[in-house]
Amino acid sequence: MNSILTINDVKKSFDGIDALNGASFDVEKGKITGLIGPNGAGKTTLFNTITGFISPESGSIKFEGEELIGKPPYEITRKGLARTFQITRSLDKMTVMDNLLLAPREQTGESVIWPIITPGKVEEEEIEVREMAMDILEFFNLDEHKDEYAGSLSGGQKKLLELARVLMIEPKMVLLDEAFAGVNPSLSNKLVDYIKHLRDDHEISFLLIEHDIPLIMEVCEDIIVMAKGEVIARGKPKEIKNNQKVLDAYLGVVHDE
Amino acid sequence: MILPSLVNYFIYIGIIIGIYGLFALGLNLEWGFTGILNFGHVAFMGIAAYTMAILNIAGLNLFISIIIGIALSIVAGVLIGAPTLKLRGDYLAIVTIAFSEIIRYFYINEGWLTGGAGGLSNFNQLLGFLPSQYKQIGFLIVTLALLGIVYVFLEKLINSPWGRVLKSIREDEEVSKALGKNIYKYKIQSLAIGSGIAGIAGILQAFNNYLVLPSSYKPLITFYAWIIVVLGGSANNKGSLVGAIIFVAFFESTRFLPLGDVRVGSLRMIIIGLLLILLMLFRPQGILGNKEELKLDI
Ligand SMILES: Nc1ncnc2c1ncn2[C@@H]1O[C@H](COP(=O)(O)OP(=O)(O)OP(=O)(O)O)[C@@H](O)[C@H]1O
Ligand SMILES: [Mg+2]
Repeated sequence: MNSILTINDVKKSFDGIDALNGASFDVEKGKITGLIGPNGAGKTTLFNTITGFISPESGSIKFEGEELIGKPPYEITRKGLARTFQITRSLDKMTVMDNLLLAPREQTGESVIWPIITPGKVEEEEIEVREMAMDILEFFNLDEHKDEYAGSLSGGQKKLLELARVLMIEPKMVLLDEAFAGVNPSLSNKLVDYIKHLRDDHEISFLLIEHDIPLIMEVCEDIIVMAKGEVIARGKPKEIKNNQKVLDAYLGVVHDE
Repeated sequence: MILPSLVNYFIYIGIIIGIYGLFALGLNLEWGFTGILNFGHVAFMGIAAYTMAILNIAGLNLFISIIIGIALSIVAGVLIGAPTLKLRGDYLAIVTIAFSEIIRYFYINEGWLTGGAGGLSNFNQLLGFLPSQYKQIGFLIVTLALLGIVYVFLEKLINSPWGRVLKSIREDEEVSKALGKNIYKYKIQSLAIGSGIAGIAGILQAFNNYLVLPSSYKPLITFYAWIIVVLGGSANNKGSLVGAIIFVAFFESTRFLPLGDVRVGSLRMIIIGLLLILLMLFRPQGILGNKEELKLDI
């Protein structure tokens, strides 16, 4: 298996509660992998650890063979590993367009001197990223809102904006934390198609946290199940569906959705 | 001869507006666009002014002294920012105000270098070569020219991708990080540029007064800049200029009240306080600020 992300024995506790208790797995390159598990299983904590927002007590996380632990979030993103947040984080006081223009990596105009010294080159680059942003906005039906403040969008639209923004990074791998929650079914089908298209044509790998089990069974070819900070099962959707450990983990756990 | 003296008075006011406008523009970059709570802005004004005065009195060419003065303000911004900009905003506020007071006590106590409480005055004039009747107007032109240059420079930066990153930091650092931005670097750059602009204002003020004094760099002066920025509307450079005009006009118009210095001083603060309360109630984004973009939420 050609893995893009390898997680090995990662441990993290908050005030004595083990949020991650030796989680280990790897994610295959070019696949759409699902990460499920009951509330409090440590899924979001794992995302935060992978992307450098939290430093774990021990363990190793490798992206394309390179150790990530100890690196700050911005460096990890620049390597092509991007994420969204479980609680939507649109930049409400910036326009929808600016939200997207912010995302591309290595923009000349983002260093403090070039906008002054070579405004022409910076402007050219801006035109390019703007075109790319328009394409993505059109796909998400957000193009009409491009000049509005992101704060004026609906909850569902903000989810889309966050997804659109992450794609502007042109990542090699995307971690989506409940990207489908609150998005209406027809749009979520469209999103699924789009994610498959990105995987097929752009070889982007995905790791999705999702509570919508039918959806994840349909989208993912590989599913990892976490409970209490550990991986308890791994396999194809069919295998997961019939796994007793998984059923036990979900049993008695009341869902809040 | 009431007319010439009136003209001179307005020239004087124009200069003061220019100096405060510059000073506020520096803070607006830090606070308005980046969200940095700098409560020690005045320190960077003083560092440039004192450096210029000390070096020039020691015999260094005036122009070079000015450049070194401004450069040192920038360096001080980096040195203060480096250990503190990773802290939470409120800690930064405490550290910067403490820094500005430490610097001021240094001016008072190290008289051998700084002239102590009496300050320094034996540095050259900026426009010493001009005939005396043109000095004031010449100085106004220099001040407004610098203000214009800094304004255009800031507008360019703010509307560039660099400025876009600053705004994202102001709103949500976590998002900015997740999008691959080294927010620490940007904050240091913002503080360094803001401090350099404060340095320019400090140099102009020193030439305008023919004097640098520790008491010119009290925390109160930092808060004047805050009042100007908040009044005019954070995150709006034009707003900082409008704020400076209103602030200086208000200050000058109360100058001639027949109440004595102390009472006028207190009265001003009461009125400014009331005005700010009204502003926060009815127009929290300031005069030119954009409501969608910036409510005063820390
Ligand atoms: N910053 C934090 N401080 C303290 N405890 C935390 C923190 N973040 C997570 N936890 C705890 O760690 C455990 C795992 O939480 P996490 O958010 O990773 O779960 P999750 O699998 O994402 O759950 P959900 O499906 O509800 O989003 C929980 O017990 C949670 O309360
Ligand atoms: Mg979660």
